[in-house]
Amino acid sequence: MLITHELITWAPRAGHAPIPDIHLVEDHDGAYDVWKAAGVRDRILVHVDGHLDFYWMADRDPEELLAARSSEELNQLLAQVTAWNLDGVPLRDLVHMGNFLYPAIAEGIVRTAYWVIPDPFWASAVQREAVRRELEAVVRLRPSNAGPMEVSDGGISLTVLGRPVTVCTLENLPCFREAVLLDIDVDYLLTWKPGGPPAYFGQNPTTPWLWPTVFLACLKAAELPTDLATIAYSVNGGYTPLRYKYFGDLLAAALADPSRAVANEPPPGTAAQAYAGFLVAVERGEMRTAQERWRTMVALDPSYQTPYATWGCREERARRWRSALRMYDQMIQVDPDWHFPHVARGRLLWRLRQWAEAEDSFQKAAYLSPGPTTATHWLGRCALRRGEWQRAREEWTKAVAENPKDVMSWSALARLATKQGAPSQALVYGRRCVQLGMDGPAIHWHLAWAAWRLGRRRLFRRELGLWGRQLLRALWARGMQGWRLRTSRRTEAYAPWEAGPQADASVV
Amino acid sequence: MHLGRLAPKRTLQWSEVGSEVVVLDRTMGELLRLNAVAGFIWKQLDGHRSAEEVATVLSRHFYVDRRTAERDVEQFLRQLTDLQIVEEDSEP
Repeated sequence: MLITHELITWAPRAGHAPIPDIHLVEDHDGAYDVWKAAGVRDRILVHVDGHLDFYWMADRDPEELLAARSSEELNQLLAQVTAWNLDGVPLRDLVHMGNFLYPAIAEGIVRTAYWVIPDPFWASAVQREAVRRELEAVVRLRPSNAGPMEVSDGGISLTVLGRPVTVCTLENLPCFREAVLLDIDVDYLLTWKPGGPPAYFGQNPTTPWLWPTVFLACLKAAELPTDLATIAYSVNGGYTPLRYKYFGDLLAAALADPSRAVANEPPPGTAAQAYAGFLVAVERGEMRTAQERWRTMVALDPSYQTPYATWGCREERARRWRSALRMYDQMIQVDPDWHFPHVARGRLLWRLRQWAEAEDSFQKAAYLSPGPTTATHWLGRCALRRGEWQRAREEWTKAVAENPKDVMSWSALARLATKQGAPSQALVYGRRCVQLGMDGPAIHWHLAWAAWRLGRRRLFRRELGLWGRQLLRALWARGMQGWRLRTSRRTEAYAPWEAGPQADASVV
Repeated sequence: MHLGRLAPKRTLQWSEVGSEVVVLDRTMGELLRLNAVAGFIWKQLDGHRSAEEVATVLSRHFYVDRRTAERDVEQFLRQLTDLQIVEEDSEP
């Protein structure tokens, strides 16, 4: 009698049988919320993504420090400087798309993780080295919590928080004998090299290195048993160009019903198809048609009304101000009731020193916006420019009341407090900026000034050191940016509307 | 010395760790470590003792002259005031 081995799993294999539980999320940290809600624990994770999405979090309760039994133990605990949540920020507020695998592992949701990297990441020695360096940077920050790396032809393995992590291509995944958490980021199909800028900000229009139909075939060949799949669109941040957002929907539909045919084009009657038509109409200068397509698109899926739908932000980041301004003007023509292009237009006019026109745009944006908007912050800057300090303070105070994470307004309040010789306030506002992740030289300058005025010499020395270090980094980055702009080539195929959308939620 | 009857802010958490006192200020996101002398002074701050009384206790405990004790207490209390982690106890 022949005894044959079979996969010992009760879970359907992706691409062979319908997966019962599939979740689509806008931003990838939404997957963490899905896992928490499902109550999953001790699972194998297959993370198919152009990014690691793991970074250390300051999540340890500082009450552990108060419970230390000796100075030596306290010293050891404090050696992990980045670990302590001294500000008492709620832990979920610390989680974002770039670090959500940390709590997933730390909380025991994941016991073993596989980061499936795009094939191009492993295609050359240079790319492999870039992946290795990225992992090494993570290990270096907390060597006591991250093990040594082993690099082989098949991939990289290491230990993180006591859990094994393997980095490999889809082809090199092992055979699993239990159901895995299948976690897919659409940007996996669109990311060509590790550590590069998000696709929206890339130099040239981004096309997929792998189209959905081929990806699904590869996934099927991997025979992954899974009972829970998460798929992230990742348009926010510019990782997935909006024109390819529909890949997420295609993948979800295919995993739910592998028997149905899949095409790489946007399905008819969808927001994706309307958006493709919108782009073509704008390129041709057919603005009335563009407006119709835009309205159809937004009616079908309001999430497509995003800054990433326009190339203006990309032009802005590339310092092509006039081009960006033209695009924002076009967007206002297409959708005059959308507040975003008014904010963006105002920001550009400010840069071009057209103060009155800029303020007019900010006023319009504030009027049109259904919720908090950076226009409030900019109105504060307009007031400051006129010397109306009290009015400026009111606008920024209103801005942070509406959005406590508005770091620009906290920074402006810190700057104003410094101007007005109020070191205690500057310290509070500056600390808030640092909590929110602002780490530039300016904020450390304000903190250093405040510390000096308050006689806090140790804090002063620390902040002064940080100011110097961040200043050097900023100057280096500015130098490199200028060099890149000078050496970039513009191809004949480049057209403004073909450039990647660059949406930065913080500028909405 | 012109400092009032001070006490740690009620929002703080602190504990003794070995010969140190560790103070956690979540408002500022800071952890303060007080050495043996500073920790001793800290534990005297109950909102009822004046700075002079604290200096007297310090002088007796550490066998230092009164002038040195007064100077050290005043300097330390001013630091705590600047750090905004002490307050004058308004309760009778």
